Amino acid sequence: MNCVFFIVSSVTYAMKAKNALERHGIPCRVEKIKNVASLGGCGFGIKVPKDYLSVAKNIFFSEGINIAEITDCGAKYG
Amino acid sequence: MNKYIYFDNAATTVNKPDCVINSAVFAMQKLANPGRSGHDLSLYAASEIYECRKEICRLFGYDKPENVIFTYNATYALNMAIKGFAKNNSHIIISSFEHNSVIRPVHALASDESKNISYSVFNASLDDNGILYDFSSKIRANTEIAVVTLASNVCGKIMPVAKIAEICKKKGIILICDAAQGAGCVPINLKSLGADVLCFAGHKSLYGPQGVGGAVFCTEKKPKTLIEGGNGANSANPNMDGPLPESLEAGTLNTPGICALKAGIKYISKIGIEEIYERNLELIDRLTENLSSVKGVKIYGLSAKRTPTLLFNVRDLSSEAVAGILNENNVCVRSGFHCAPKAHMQLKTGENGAVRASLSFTNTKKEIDAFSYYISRI
Repeated sequence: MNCVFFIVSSVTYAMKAKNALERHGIPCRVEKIKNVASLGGCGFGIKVPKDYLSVAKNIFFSEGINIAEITDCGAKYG
Repeated sequence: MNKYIYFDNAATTVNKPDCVINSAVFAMQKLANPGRSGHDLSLYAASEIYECRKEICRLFGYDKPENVIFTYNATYALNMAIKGFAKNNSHIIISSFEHNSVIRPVHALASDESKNISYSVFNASLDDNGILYDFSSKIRANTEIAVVTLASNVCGKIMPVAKIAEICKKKGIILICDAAQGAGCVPINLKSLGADVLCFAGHKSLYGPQGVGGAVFCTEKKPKTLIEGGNGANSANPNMDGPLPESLEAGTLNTPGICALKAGIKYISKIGIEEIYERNLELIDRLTENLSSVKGVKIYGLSAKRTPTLLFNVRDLSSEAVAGILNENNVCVRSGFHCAPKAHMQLKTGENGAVRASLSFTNTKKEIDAFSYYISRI
């Protein structure tokens, strides 16, 4: 899948990230991670088309949204 | 059901708008547990909860929805902040107009000898300069926390919280503001208010249902947890740490209550808090003027800046007797001490309490005149 998965600390931050991206017209989707063992417990993230990787990172940085990890969709966390 | 004149809005508002009821019903029918599962109905619930956090921020002029913590009520939020920030060997300052939701947790901390926590009470019945002077005089080297109500639930007086916050900032004191009475009827901007934590009740002037309240944290400091449990995040970790809000929200949230609260806030925001404040002032001024002309009525604790609340007694009758007579006429008020005994001591009603008429912008001049008539007939 040609997208990236931004892992955040909680569903609230996933919603905050979604709000921030949508304000900038960036398509995205909140998902629960599928491989909980690798994260050490339940967690949420936001999937974004790969083309928007760098602009999404900048938006998250400017909005104070800490990203725990970035992976390819379908890889480590589903 | 009879038509009531409802003047007990400081206890809770009734006749919630349809949008509030519909939102609660919708949530109960359609929304799952937020922040737990990955299916659409759980994510939809999480989205609705986040929208309510945003709505609360919009109302209070703040910009961090993630710092809005949901609780069962304002009392829980106050306990969470007070006990969460309290340190051993420290000192706390509270006002004489605090509700038992502040007095009791502070007293409980001070009663635990192992903590060595003490507290002082400043006089809230003075004018603003007097309050600031008395507040400052209570500060000690080990003062860590101050708790001040935004508005008295007994007489409606609005406290100079922003000025107290300036003093607290200089002294490094955490200021917790109890906005149970002010939120929704007094304009609040958290950036200019300067409190570190603002606690609110959802079911009063915010027009949400009972069973939902919360706190907005405007500080980077995090309190110790009051309770721990599942929060949908980092679940392999036995410690409930991590960022707000989940680190202070153990257990399933009251999703229907929170969705209904969101609708309530939208409802009052559409009217405008400034407009509500002005309407309330007009109503309470009329009631004050009416009752001032009734022989035998004594009014207590009048102040220029106030919520629509009036405290009074009729001759030497007990407040319960007056409230009982009013109830026979389908008029709802609250009598007694209003869970704020120190305020009554200060207002010289500490022996028998008083009658509290607390209005809402939905009340009418006609109701006020009818109420005044009933009082004049007692």
